[in-house]
Amino acid sequence: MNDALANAIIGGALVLAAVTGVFSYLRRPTPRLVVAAVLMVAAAVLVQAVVAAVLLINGERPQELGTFIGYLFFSVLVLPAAFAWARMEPGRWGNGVLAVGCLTLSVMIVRLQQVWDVTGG
Amino acid sequence: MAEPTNSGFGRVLVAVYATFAVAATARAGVQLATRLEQAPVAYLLSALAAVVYIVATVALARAGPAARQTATAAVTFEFVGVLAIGTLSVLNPTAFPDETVWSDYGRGYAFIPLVLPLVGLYWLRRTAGTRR
Repeated sequence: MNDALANAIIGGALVLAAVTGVFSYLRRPTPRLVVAAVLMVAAAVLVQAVVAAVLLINGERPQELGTFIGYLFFSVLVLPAAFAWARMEPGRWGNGVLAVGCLTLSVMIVRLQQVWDVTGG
Repeated sequence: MAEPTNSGFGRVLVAVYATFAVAATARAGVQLATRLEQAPVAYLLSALAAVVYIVATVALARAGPAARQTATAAVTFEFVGVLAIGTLSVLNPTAFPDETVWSDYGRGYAFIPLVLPLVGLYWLRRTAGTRR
């Protein structure tokens, strides 16, 4: 696993959780720049999943392989799902959904790193 | 008139429920697939928790009286479940060798599983449209 990429995703997701939280409080629609940032983090998660998949194919194995693959799979879906659900109600609650999605993602990537670091044997 | 449970604050609530539905399902799936024989009762309860979260998520996300009833039942069951499993896991830790979503009242998930059903019941009541 690429720690730099994972840390960047965690940091970015936490910042975006705070930012969307603020726009939720302000009852404002999510600014385009913030939407773009969310989509960038989503893209970074996809890149990370591809990198991790390549490592798995090359024979590297975390001890809890099933758990790892589960986190990897759902980490890719979290932001797109949150984005789609948030779009239906821009403003306070759409931003709230994005904040929940970003927080969830950051926790998932932390867990993903933890599971990866426990290798078999 | 009853208001929909899936908009406004309900939209965020559904997002949180969906997160727990996925988390509990994935966790139970891995447990059942890889080590069912180690603690079948605990892992089947883990799967039950997953089903409850899925039902609650879908019911809250749909509008209508039938969905509301289903959601109320599921969220009530969820609250009973987290209290029961939480208490059992504290009193008899060996019965739950591996964490489930409801172990230790959801400690592994920042106690959100303990608070979530209360928020869910509050929201169902708030949107029911009956005078209190």
